[in-house]
Amino acid sequence: MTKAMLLLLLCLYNHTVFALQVQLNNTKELVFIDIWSEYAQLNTLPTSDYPRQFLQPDMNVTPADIAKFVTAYPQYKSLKIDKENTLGMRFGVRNTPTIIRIEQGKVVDKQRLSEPPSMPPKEHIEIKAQHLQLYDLDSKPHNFSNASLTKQLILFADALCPARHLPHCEQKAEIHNSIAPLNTIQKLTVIKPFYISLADLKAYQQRFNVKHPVLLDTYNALFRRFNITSLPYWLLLDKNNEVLYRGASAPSKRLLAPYSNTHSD
Amino acid sequence: MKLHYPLIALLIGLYNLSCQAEPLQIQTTTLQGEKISTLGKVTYLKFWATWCRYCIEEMPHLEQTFKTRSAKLNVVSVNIGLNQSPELVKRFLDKHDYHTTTAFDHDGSLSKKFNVIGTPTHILLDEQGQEIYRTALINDELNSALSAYLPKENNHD
Repeated sequence: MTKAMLLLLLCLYNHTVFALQVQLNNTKELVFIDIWSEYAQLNTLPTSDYPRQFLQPDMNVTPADIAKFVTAYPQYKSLKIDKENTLGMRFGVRNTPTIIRIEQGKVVDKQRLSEPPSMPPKEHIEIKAQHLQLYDLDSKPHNFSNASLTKQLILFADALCPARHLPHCEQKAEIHNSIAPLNTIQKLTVIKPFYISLADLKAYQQRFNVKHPVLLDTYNALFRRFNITSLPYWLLLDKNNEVLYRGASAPSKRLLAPYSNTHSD
Repeated sequence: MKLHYPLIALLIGLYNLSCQAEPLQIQTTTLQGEKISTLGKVTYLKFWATWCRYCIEEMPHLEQTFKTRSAKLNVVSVNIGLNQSPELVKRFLDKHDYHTTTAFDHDGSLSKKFNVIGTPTHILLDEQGQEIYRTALINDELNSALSAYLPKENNHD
């Protein structure tokens, strides 16, 4: 090995050690936030002279969710998921927002900024007749008792698709689109009201190019009436709104024949 | 050379044993003050939080399963503890008259142990603590698996 190569290696080593020392000596802040709470109400954080790394606990998020949030709120551009909650657990972070100030590799301050958690609103209000009146995206009421229809094929879905709790939701939305029932069978998509806005609903319709009516179940009443717990989920109703088929996969062509009335459940 | 075959077989056997998943279990004191251990019985675990609407919507299903389970099934709910407090969870359970055995994940270790990165998460463990089923929302497969431990009239299936 030549002297020049040795000198180069020594130089690289010194540079690396120096860079590490600078990093360790720097004071920085880790700021744990929860994007879903921030969407509901953006927290005002105290200003700081130190560089901040924003971290999202690894719970109910995907990188796509982070990217969407950062687009909406560019001030959080350094936000990343705290994979497997490694840092959150190391620093005992159990609430968001929390700011951890680190100086020379040691925690020198921990500020918990969150309000105490509050009781959730009731999810099981009594279903009244008006709750079962569903509207499409043009605010037009949908008639579930249309005499000219023999059956209704409904895909129950969540407008936040794709998401962890919605296995194969994209493929199922496409399958539902591809089903071409006869004119006497109405095809619908009914959307869960949790966590979404009208904009999310419209985005779902556009994203999946849905041509049939998309209805919002504002009171979660149709979901509860038919005990739909997993999503996406199909229901085939006869003209009296009795269930002919229910399942996580689409009904067979035989069931979609105009006068088949085989009850499968 | 032949003498080495049993040794190699033994090493392969040991390697396979080491590759088997470690038993998953919960040994803790619940919010109701009860000491629990999930090994030795099939266990239905539900990870949840009060800020999770799907979780709250599903609570009657959990309570019904807890109340009507056979002696062969453990039912344990685990509040994930993130943006939660034991007092809040106790108040919530009391308010709705829920009696399901509930653990509180004070430091995130239970969620980490079971690799829970979303709420709700439903997990079924066998008697040896091996995971046999997992789903985010209650689905037909979960209900079908639970039905073996519920009286016929209370089957969700």
